[in-house]
Amino acid sequence: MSFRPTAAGRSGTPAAVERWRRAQLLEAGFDAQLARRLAEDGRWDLHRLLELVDRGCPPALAARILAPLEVDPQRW
Amino acid sequence: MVSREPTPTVAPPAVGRVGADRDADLLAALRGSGPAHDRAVAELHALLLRAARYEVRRAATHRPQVREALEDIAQHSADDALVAVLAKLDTFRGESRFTTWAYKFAILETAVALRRHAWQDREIPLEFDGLRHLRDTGAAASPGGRAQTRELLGAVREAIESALTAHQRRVLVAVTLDGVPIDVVAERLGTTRGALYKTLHDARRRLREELAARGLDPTAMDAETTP
Repeated sequence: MSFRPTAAGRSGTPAAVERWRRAQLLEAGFDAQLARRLAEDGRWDLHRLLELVDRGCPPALAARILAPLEVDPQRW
Repeated sequence: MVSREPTPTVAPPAVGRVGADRDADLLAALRGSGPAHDRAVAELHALLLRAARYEVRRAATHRPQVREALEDIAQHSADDALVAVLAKLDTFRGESRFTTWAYKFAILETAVALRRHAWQDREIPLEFDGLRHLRDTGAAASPGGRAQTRELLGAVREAIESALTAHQRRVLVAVTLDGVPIDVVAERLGTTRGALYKTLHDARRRLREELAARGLDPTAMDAETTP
């Protein structure tokens, strides 16, 4: 029994999804490098990131706040 | 948060039926451990797979593009349903047969997988242009009604652009105007449907407040345009 995502369970190719995620972040004011890193890392909840930014949180700080526990905060 | 048990409205197909005693045995084994638990998980997965196949085949009669991926969608849906059932096992209150309760998860996950499949080869537009949908279609019965509709649609468009935050606007336009399934938006944002529903709820409330502040009542348009 496999629990890996299959083609049927995805709503777009990884490249297309990443491109779309990056565009949302850029539009919200994330710099290009941070947007690229967050877009390609599915551990970040973009919805919560964008909500924080909507409320006035600087993008880089939002990324640090929502960084997964296993990510070194010094990198952000 | 209180977990809510799905309401059993759809009976499992005959092929998936087992006796009430077997239901109880299955539930007990799932709550246990060891080889009996493993066998019960396999049995539950088989049940969910039958349910998912049934639902996918039903959908395929209306959507030919699904036929090529029937088995893939069914397997994926059964896997997701199994994970969901096992995670919520403690919330089962015995108000329906266990297999009926579990079957609901297969229906839900299959519906989600079908919606995602429909968007598999489609890109969500980078620039949402759903506001174009907010134009007068001439559905109102009278000239006065059409003028009222135009005024309201214009106000709604302005309110979406000015009263919502950028992300509220993004989610609202994508889901309600561009018709992107909420599962697809959630998946791409790496979030949950619940989080998006909350945003949609807040956005709609904000729009209602904004329209009310302008002395407009969206329900008036409903009454005018409904035959």
